[in-house]
Amino acid sequence: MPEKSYRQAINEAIVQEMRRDSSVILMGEDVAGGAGAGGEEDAWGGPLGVTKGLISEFGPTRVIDTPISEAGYMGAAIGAAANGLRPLADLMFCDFIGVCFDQICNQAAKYHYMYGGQDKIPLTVRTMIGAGLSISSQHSQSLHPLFTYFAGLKVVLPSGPYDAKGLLIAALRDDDPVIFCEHKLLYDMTEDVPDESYVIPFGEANFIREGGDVTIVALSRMVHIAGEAAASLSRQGIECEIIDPRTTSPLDAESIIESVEQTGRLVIVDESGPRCGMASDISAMVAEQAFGALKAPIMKVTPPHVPIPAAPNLEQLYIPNAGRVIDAVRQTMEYAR
Amino acid sequence: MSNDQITALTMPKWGMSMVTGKVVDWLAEEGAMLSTGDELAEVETDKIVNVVEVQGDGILRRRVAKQGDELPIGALLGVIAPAEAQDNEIDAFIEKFQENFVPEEVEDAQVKEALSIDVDGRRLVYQKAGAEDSELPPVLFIHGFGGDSSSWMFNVADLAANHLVYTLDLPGHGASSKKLGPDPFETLVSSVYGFINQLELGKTHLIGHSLGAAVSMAVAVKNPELLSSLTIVDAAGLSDALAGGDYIQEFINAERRKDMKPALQKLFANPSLVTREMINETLKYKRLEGVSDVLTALARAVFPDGKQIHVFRDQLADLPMPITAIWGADDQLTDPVDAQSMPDNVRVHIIDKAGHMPHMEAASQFNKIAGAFLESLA
Repeated sequence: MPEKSYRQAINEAIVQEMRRDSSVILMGEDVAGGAGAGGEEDAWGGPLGVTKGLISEFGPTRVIDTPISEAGYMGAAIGAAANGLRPLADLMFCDFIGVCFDQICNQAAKYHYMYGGQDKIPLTVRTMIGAGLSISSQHSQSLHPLFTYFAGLKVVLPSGPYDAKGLLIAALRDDDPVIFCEHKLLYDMTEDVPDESYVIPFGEANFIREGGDVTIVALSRMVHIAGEAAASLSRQGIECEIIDPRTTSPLDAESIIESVEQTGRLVIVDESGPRCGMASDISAMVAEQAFGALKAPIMKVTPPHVPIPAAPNLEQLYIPNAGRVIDAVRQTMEYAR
Repeated sequence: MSNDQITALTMPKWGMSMVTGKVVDWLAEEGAMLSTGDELAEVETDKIVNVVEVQGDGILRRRVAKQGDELPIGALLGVIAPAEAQDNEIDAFIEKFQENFVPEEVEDAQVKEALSIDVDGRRLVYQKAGAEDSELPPVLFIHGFGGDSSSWMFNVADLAANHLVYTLDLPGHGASSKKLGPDPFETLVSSVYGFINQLELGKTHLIGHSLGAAVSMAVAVKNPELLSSLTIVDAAGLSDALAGGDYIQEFINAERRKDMKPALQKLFANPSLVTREMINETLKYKRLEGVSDVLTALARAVFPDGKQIHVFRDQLADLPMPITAIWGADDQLTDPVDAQSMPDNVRVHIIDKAGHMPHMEAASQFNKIAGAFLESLA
């Protein structure tokens, strides 16, 4: 099976769905080419090159470079979706949700419900999350808990190339609005990705690693941080089970509970904040549904409740690392009532 | 006393994709007298837990690997030596082994670049292993419904010691073309025939499992001159009854782990052998565009209304090549009752405590039976 990067896997998913279904269109800032690109052939395809080459194959009627107005093109994309197209709209950084909040959270999320199921909004929003590029507080957040809050939105966080392709195809075929969160630091990660199309169903957690001592739930890039920690802990005789929920809405609570019932210990690793974040949400859910199984308090490994620093040394302190995960796992292991 | 009598027991390589194995449990105590074929330890790979057998004779002097260790292929599991060997000699042997041990480089090209050939306009993916210069006939393994080459991960290495061994992904399966054409069963049969012919394998030892066994029998009936021998494993195609009809539908319908797990567990006498990784790998195949349609079409063509329509029992007696049937006693899918009252030219072996997949679940027994059968023909 050919090895592909996260970037290539996403690009391939878009190409295959655009070939299969002529109602799939692409809209966003710089999705065709970067500012000042010299002609179609030189098109860069978004700030990190993910949609490179699409303009050449599908032309400017299906790959639409929009003005710098999220409120405008996100509204247009929702209107197109309500009228039979399947737009893939690019919200470059999830931090920009503020300027199209009404369109996505008040309109797209509620349309199907408000009109008694008569209408649907098959819209997919691709957006970047995550810190690590030193691009400061307004370009580095992980706002997936915010999207997860809104009933009516589906929220997807692929942690690798295989999942990225199958989940994006699922998103493009889904009749509900889907927020597809790509982590900036994963674009160059490679793994085996089939050439054929395939769909990974939403709400199906992936067991990354099996182990009987501690359950670690991790999302997006944090799956790999958890993996590093688990490998190190395994050498010290502590076996962690790593669960990647893949989607936070719907959330595969059943798999998480099933694992915690086996291990009795839970550590949640997420790059969203410690307050009102995914770790808090999953922690509350497990405390409600599996309290009797817990042998130790649930531990959260998240960034601190501060704006994301731009200084690289401070940013590195901000992002959860394997050392912090190891400490949290040890604390759950050493806990005595 | 020289070190010659001290023998290293190492992590085996089961299948092309295996890089490491995890020691689940030791099955022999230090101090136990062991000989070739004795059970040493349980090792878990990505796919399944299996038993490592001892190669050599002597006392198990050291269990070097610890329970739970994840070790690369070739890593030292333990040491056997005669009683005369001194402890310090054994320590020195272990130290030297560990000093010199370099995990085999995983050559990506070798592992990932599967071979392929076009047969009747379909791309068939296959793997090849073993004795390239062997004068014995090659072995060709054919997997069952919904399976692929990796079904034979525990069997290839054993037979590859003496034979050139091929494993083929049938059309609609594994990495091969997902197009089956209007007569799916005939497509599978002519693909195997075309594969043997186009690669000029000459007379071949054909080993087929389940639906792959029915395909193999069809090839044997149609082109008996192609085969040196025929081995059928938990075979379909011996009666019109289909014990595991539910399995076929459950397998086709399963899109999620929760549904796939109980389906796959029906394949084994010991359902705990089904690992999450096995479920994941199966789901990865099932998700590929076209696979559900292909499996549905295939199931309709070969098992319509819960009956098998391609039955070869009466033709076996007339086949010229030697035939062996191997069966798991606890098979829930193809009833072991089908192994009874075989014609005289078919040797039947029933393996206890194995389900529909004896070549995985009881790999060492399976390999012994299959290996002895082929050896008897050499």
